Amino acid sequence: MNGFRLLKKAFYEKRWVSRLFFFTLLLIVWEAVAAFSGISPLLLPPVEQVAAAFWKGMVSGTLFLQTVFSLAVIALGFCLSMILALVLAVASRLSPFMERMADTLTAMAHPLPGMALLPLIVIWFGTGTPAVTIVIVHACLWSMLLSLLSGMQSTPALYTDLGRSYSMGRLRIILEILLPASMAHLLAGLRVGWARAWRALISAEMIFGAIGATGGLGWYIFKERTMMHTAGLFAGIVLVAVIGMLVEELVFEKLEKSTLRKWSVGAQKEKAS
Amino acid sequence: MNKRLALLWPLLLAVLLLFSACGTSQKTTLTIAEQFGVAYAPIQIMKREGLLEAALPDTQINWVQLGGPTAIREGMLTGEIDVGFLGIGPMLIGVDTGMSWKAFTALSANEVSFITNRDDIHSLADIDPDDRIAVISPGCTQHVLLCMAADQQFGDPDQFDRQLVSLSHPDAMSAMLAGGEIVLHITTPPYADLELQNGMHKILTGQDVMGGSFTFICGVADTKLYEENRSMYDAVQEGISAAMALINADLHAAAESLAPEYGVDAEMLYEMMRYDGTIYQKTLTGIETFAAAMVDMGLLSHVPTAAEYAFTNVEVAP
Amino acid sequence: MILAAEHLYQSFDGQPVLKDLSFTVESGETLVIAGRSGCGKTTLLRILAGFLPPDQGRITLDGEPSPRPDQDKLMVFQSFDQLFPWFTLRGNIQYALKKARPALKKHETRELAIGCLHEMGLQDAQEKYPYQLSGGMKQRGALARAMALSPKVLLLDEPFSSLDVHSRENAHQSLQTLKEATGAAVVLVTHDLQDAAALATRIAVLQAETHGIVAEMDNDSPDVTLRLRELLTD
Repeated sequence: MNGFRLLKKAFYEKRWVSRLFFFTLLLIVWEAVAAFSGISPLLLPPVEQVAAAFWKGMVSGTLFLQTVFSLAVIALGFCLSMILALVLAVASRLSPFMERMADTLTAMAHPLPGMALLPLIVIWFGTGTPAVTIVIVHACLWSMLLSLLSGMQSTPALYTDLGRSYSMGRLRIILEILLPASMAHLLAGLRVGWARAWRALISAEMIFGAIGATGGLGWYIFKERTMMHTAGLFAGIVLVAVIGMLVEELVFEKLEKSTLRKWSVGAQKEKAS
Repeated sequence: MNKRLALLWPLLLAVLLLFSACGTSQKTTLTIAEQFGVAYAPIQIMKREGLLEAALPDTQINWVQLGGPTAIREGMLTGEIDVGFLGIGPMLIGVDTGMSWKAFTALSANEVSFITNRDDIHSLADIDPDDRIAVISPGCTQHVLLCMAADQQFGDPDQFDRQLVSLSHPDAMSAMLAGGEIVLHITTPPYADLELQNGMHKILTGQDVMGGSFTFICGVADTKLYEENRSMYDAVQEGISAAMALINADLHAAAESLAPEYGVDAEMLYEMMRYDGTIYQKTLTGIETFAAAMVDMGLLSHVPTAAEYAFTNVEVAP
Repeated sequence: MILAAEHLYQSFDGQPVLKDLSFTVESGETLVIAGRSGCGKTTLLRILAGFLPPDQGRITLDGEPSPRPDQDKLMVFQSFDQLFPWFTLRGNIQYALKKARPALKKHETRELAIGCLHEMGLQDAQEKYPYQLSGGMKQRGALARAMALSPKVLLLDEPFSSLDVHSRENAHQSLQTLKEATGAAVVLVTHDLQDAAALATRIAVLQAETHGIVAEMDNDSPDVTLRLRELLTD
C-alpha cells in the first residue's frame, strides 16, 4: 500500500509522471484498437510497427540528423521571433506612431495562415534556411508580440509610477519593470509560439523539400507519407509529440519555476498554515 | 421532467440518422478524383458529356480535383474516394504496400518533359547541388523517372533526392516563371508546353528514359467497388472508353470544347493532345519495365504480376 | 524645507475636482488631508507627487517648481501590492536604492536595506517574496522602501486603512520612527478619524462640494475630534 501511496503522490506532484502515465495508457489503447478493431494497418499501424520504423529511421536512416536539423532551425526562428517581439513591443510603448504601425502589421499578419503564404515564399525566397526561418518567424512572432503587449498593458500603473519616482527613463521602465511584470503573459505567448513554430516548420518542410543536407523531421514525415509507409509516418508524428513534451518539461517548466512560481504571480498551491 | 424528455427526442433522432448513414449497404454516391493536366482530358469529356450520370441515374457523382496522388490514396483509404486517376508510380507503390486497389484502365501515355528555365543547363549533369527540382511529391511518377535518369547517367538513383521540392504543376510553373531556386520542372502538357512557350527548353523526356512510350496515368479503383458495386465499376470503364473514343474520333472538336478548361487556345490544346503529346488508350503499357526500375531503386519490394496490379478485365501490354 | 501647493485647479471630463487649492507643509510636520471618499484627496496627492499635471497652479519644493515625479517626494500607495513581486523584501529596497543613487555599490545597498528593515522590525522577513508577506508587512515594507531613499516629503495614500488594529498600530509606530529619523515632511490622505487623530500635527479637510479646503486645524487644539467628526460624517 505504501508503494501505491507514493505513486499517487508522485502522479500529482510531478508532471512528468502523470504525462508518462497517460502516454503509456494511450499506447496500450492504440495497440488494442489496432489489433482488434479491424482497421487497416495502412491507416493505424500497430505500435510495434511504428517502433520498428522509428528504430530503422534512427539507426540506418537519417532520422536523427533530420530531427536535430529541425530543432536547430526552430530554435533559430524562435529566438529571432523573441528578439523581434521584444523590439516591436518596446517600440510600441515608446512611440504612438510605432504602436499604430505594429498594430496594423499584427492585425494583417496574425490571422494569415502560413500555409497560404508557402508557395509565395518559395517563389520569392527559394527553399533554403532563410525561407524556412521566415516561415517560422511569421508563425510565432505575432502571438508573442500580442502576449507581450497584453502583459505590459495589464501591469498595474503604480509600478510605472514607482519607476518614474526613481527618475527611470521610459526604456528602463519598460525593460526592468514592465517586462518582469509581464512574465505570465510572456510565458503563455512563448508556449503558443513554440507550438505554432513546430506546426509551421513541419508544413513548410513538406513543401520545401530537403533543406540542407538531409532536410528535417517534416520532410521525413512527408516522404514516409508519399511512399505510403504509414508506420514511419506515425513514428515521425509521435516523435514530434515527444519532443514537444520534452521541451515543455525542460524549458518552459523550468522557466516558469524560476520566475512565476518563485514570485507566485498567479495561483500558487497554498499549504494550509 | 417534461422538458428533459423533449430535448431527448431530437438527440435520439440525430443519433439514429447518424447510424443509418453509417450502416448503408446501398452505395448512393460515387466519388472520382483526378489531378491537373491534359492527361486527364477523358475525365473532362466524361464530365462534360454526363456519361456517368446517364449510366447511373440513381447515383450522386462527385468530382474532385487534387494536386497530387498522396491525397487521392488517403481519400481511398478512408473510403471517401472510390475511383482515382494517378501516375503508375504511386499506383505501384500502393499495390506494394497493401492498398486494396488495382488499375482498371490506362488513361494516357504522355510526353513527360524535363523542362529548365536556365539557358546554361542542357542536361542533368549541369544541375548544381543548390538547384531545386520540382515534382509533385516523392514517389510520384516524375520522381521515379528522375531517379531512373540519374541512375542511367550517373549510376546513383538518389543523386537528386535532396533537391526535390514538392509542388503541384500549376505552382511549380509559377515558380519556374518567377525564376529562382527551382530550375527544373518535370511535367506534362499543358504545363510543359506553356513553359516552353515562355522561353524555357526541354533537356530530357520520359520516353528517352524509358526507351519508348508507356502509360503515364492510369485509373485505380478499390477492389471493394469491383466486388460490391460492379455496376458502378462497369459504368466508369465504359465512360472512359466512350470519352476516349470521342477524343480519338475528332481531336479538333475535343480540343475546341476543352480549351477553356485548360486555359489555352484550341490550337495549342490540339497540339498537346496529338501523338507526341499524348495518347489516350486503355491498354496499360510499360508497367513492368517501370516496376523493375522501381525495384532497383528500392521503391518497390518486387515486380508485381499483372494480376497483382490490374483487374482481370483490363488489357495489359508488356 | 517647504512643499507648497499654489492655486491648484483640476477637472476631469469637465467636472471640477479641485478649485484654487493652496497649502504648505514643512519638515517634521505631518499634514493629514481628510475628507469623504471621492472628494479629490487622491487626485491632490498625485498632483503633489508629480504623476498628474494640474490644469492650473503649481507645486514648489523650497521655492523651486517641482512638476515631475522625484525621489524627494515619494508616494506610498493604497494598494497592498506595491512591492515588485519579483524581488524579495530586501531586494525591493536594494533596487530602489540602486535606482535613486546609482553610485552605491551592491554591498552598500544591501547594508542600507537591512538597516532600514531593522528600523521597521522587518529584518526577519528580508528574504521573503512579497507573496509570502501579510498585508501589514507589505505596507510597512513599502514604507521602508520609501524611507530608505530619505525623501524630503513622504506622500501617503490611505496606507493603513485595510490593516487590522494590531498591524495598524505597528505601522503608526514605524511611521513615527522614520519621521523622527529623517525629519521628512509627511502628507497623509485618509478618510479615517483614527489615523488622523493618531498621526497628524495638522489636519486639513477637503470638501467635495466646494472642491477646496474647508477647514484647517492643528491637531493639538481642543475640539479637533469633534469638529472632524462633524465635517466628515455629514
